[in-house]
Amino acid sequence: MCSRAGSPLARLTRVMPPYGEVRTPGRARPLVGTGQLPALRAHPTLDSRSTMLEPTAQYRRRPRRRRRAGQVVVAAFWLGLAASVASWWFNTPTGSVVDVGGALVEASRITGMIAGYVLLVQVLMMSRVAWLDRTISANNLLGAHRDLGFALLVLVLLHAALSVVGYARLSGISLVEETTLMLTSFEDMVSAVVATGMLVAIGLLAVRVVRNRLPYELWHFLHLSSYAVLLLSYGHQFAVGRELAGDGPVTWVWAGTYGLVVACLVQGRVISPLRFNLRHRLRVAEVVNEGVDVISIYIEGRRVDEIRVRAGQFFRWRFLAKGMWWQAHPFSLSAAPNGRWLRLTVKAVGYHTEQLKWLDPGVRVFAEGPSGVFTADHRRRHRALLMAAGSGIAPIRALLEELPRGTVVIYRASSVDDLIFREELDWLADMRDAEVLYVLGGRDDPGPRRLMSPKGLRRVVPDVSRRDVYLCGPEGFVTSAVAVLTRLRVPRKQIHLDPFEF
Amino acid sequence: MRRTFLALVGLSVMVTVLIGLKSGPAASLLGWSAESGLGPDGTSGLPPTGAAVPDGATPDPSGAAAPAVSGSPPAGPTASGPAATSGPAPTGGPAPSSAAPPPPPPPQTTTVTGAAVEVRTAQSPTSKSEPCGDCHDYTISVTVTVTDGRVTATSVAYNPSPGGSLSYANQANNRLSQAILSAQTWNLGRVSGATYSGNAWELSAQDAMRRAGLPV
Repeated sequence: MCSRAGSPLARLTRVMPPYGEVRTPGRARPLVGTGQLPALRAHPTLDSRSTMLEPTAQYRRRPRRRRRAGQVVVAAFWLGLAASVASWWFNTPTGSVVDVGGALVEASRITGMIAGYVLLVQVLMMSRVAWLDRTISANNLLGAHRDLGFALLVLVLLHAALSVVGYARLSGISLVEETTLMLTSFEDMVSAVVATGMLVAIGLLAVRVVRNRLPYELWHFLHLSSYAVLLLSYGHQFAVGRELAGDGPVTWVWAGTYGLVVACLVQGRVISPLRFNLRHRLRVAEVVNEGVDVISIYIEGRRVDEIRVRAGQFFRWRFLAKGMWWQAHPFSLSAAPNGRWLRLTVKAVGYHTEQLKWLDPGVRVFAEGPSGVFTADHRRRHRALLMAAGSGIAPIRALLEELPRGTVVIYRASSVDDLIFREELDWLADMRDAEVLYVLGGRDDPGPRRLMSPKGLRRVVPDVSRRDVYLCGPEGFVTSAVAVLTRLRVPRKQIHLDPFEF
Repeated sequence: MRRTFLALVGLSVMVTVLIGLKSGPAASLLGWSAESGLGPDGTSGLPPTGAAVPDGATPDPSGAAAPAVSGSPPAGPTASGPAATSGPAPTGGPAPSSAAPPPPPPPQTTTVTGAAVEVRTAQSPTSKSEPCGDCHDYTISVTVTVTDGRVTATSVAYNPSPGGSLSYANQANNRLSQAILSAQTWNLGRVSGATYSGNAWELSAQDAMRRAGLPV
């Protein structure tokens, strides 16, 4: 379906080429698939027209409630931190610190309590438990995980150094003697030292330069040794830690917290995915070509209508085929859930995604999720602006189905051939009274440059500061878009980012 | 990452402040004014040494007046030592008999027991591989005998027994009780080999001395 100037659709969808000419969109490549499902050009989503209307009651939720949940979690984090320090405070008699050695030892106790708490928080953050994954954006979780990881490393090293120096001073012996004494006389100190060494190694591996040089699966596997850190450091906390060596309430609460975190881990990583997949038994139904190196995978299964997922969320997909089963990759849904199938759209950029092109229908899929807060019910305002670049159009395309009338979509691509979902977007624009703007060209071409400036963006979307903005695309695009939006005084809480790179 | 740096800096500041708030009267550490010690405030009834020596100050007039009256009491103002002159009460003399000095009290000896300070030992330092059978929580309570503003004797009580750490605790007690008699202060530095009980000994002695009215 081509939109020509003058047709009703041209009012709603505009192609802005880099040099001011209108170019005819090229044709997509021949379809790949078994033909079981309607092909792209026949608008597969047309079959479920009922879902194109306003969101059904099942999915209707007030935005306000979602927002609070995130704040509650963050507040709980700070509360727990304060409680850890408080346990030291109430355990230390006033006036008991009288010399440098004593002060160092007390400092080592504080840092020890905080480090233990942060370690638990780190593991909890990555446990993929539902109440966390659906409350805090995966972006923010990952960022917090990285920051806290660095802080944890510093805290643990500080704690170790302060302990050794402090006790050495108190006892009047040399550092070497003190270290030997600690290792030989106290329970579980050897395992604590091993845990510290592993933590240092994990920290070094997590440096961006090193991380990028390793294949991701290997890096991830090495990173999993942080569970061993958790295990090995447990002993010395209770055997030697002054706050926890007694039998008081603090000890029980601390041990209970450990148990809770492990329970969340098991729930989020083992129990919940198993239940989900046994219940729905997802399988690949069709693989469809969307454009140059871009495919859509249609997934169907049992009781798909009972999957509680929203447009904009993602799953971590594991395709149980040869050579692919040992990797799980996150992909967003590229069509709003319609109760019949799920669709994800993938751009072939690496070995694994290249292999996905040749998936056979019938291949079983193990999906973990849904996760993410990049959803329509997390918005603060009624109207929205969606901005996508490259394959970031996938969740945007899904979101468009669940947002109200008057949504504006800006789709950045290098050239017309890189556009995908062209017909679907045009059709949706028509049906839902949305405005879709295709902006073609490189970053420095006049068209895109004009658009990604405050004046240009405001001309296209005059009320941008009163809209929720959903951004999905490569890092450079997202950063420059956030900069422009900030200059346009769009509140930070109204800007939603999809985690694009894991 | 910048946030993390700021958070770590804030953490260091907070740790320093927290430890400062818990620091004791050894102002040499931080230069902070001391907070009160372990127990409730208040002296045990013995007036602080420096405050007043009411007994020895035999009022001059009565001493001077005495020879005028009877001549037997010793010359007044040279009343030496705290064992002051037995206060003469010249009857009928111009010196107001109501101002007759009370008899100087005998040298006061007080025995004060300090607060029981908890000692938490993680394990007997000599046995690594033993199960933690020698782990003990016990309390040390130091009793201090103060005579005329000086510590003259100490004794210690454990509740319950330190078990395997008893020999270490006794060693510490010996050295500390000797040291306190000569140094006349509770802050005796550290005794190596009995870190935990040494520290608690001093805290308990500090509390005892403070309650006895000595400046700590």
